[in-house]
Amino acid sequence: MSNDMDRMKSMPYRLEDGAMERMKIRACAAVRGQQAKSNKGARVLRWSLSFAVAVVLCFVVLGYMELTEPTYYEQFMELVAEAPEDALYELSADMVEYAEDMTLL
Amino acid sequence: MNADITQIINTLKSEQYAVRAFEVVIERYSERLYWHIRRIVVQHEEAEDALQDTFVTAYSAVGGFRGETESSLVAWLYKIATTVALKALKRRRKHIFASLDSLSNTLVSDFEAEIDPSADQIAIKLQRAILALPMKQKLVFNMRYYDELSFEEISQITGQSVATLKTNYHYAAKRIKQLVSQLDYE
Repeated sequence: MSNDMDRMKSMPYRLEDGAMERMKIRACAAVRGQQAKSNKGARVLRWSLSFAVAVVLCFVVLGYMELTEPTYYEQFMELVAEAPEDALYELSADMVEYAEDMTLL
Repeated sequence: MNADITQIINTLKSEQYAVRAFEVVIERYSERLYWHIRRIVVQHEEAEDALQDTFVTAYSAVGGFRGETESSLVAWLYKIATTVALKALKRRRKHIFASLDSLSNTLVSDFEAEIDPSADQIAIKLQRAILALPMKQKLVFNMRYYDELSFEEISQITGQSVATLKTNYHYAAKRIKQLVSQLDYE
């Protein structure tokens, strides 16, 4: 009875000798390949995050520098205060509104 | 043995040694999973690809595996293997809306080309009868009869209730008896 059960449960499919071992090796290689891929993905992600943080930091630093630097208006007013009377007279009211006019002063 | 499997399961979840643990899992469960897949897809090349996909998918999804026993690990691997095998089978349908059961005739004819010439006639007859079954019945019959999984384990794998599985198994066994006796007369 048990022998009959064993016969029924046997697999009637063709399978080359050593095929199972080859499949195991292939599966192991595929998993290792997947690990390498995930490690690479993680490295790219870490690099992208670092880059994003660096960019944000740059913007923060630039913004801070911008805040501490005197504005064009302040620079202009300083130059106006130091400029001789006759130089100021030559400039029209419209011209002095533009930052380029500071070079004239 | 149990301590051994607990250690493997814990190692599967560790980032550093997961691959080593997977190699042990591959060594231990490849044969069972290969035959489970092969009984679904029939062709060797397709079964080999599906087995590889099963382990790669399992490796990628191991973070979501919450089990702690061998039974839960086996059920998890069977679930992935079944999904991968059914996906492979779906690609072989002529129309995307055709059901998997419409492939029964194709599977039976594929099987004729895959028969081991030295195989036992009784095993060949049984396999022909199983391949002619609807997919749900085929899956539950294969997992219960060949893999000797409990209905509770099959329920974890297929997501069907134990009562439904028992009914499907009952119908499958009845149909197989009919088909085997029909094949005897042919």
